[in-house]
Amino acid sequence: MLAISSYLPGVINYTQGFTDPSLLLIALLLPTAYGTAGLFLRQRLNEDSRLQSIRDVMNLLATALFAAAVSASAGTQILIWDRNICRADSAHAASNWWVGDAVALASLTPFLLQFVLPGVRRYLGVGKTEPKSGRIHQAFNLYVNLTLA
Amino acid sequence: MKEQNEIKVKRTAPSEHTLLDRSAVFLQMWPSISAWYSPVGFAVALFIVLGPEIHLC
Repeated sequence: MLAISSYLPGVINYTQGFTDPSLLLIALLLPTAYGTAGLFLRQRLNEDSRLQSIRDVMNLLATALFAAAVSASAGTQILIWDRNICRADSAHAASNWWVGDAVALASLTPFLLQFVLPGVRRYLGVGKTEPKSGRIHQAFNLYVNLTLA
Repeated sequence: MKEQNEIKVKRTAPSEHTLLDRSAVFLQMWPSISAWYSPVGFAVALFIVLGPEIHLC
């Protein structure tokens, strides 16, 4: 599903061909890199996947940013191989790719983990209920942990 | 009920990913450089919370 999700925007948003080899390879690369990071983080974080300590935040940031570096460097090599960019621009392209991914991973992912996806877990029947009064405390904890990290 | 909800999430995730990717196009600070690529943050969070089984349909 993640591969399909990576493939569809290339066709719809960037009007690339269905059989563009770089698009197909990147659509396989992204789920592999971020799926491996996600599986690793699933083992490291607690059962409800919330970020409850600085250690959780550091685990998330280190793993996700490393996966972003791997996908950015490998993805840039794919674009060079397919002659979408020239080799001289590879470092610039890789750094732009990494920064774009890193900003989303450091801001959007913690927000979703803390506030949005617990509701999705409950909707799917795999989460546990929690008192609403604890949410302000959780928001404060997340803010402090992200600031310190 | 749980299976129906899982099917709903599986069906909507690719379209959400595509819409978020579209937002990355609008958030370009300079030509071809986006301020952030939100689909990646969404995908990693979904993978952590829901696990690999939701992605292997």
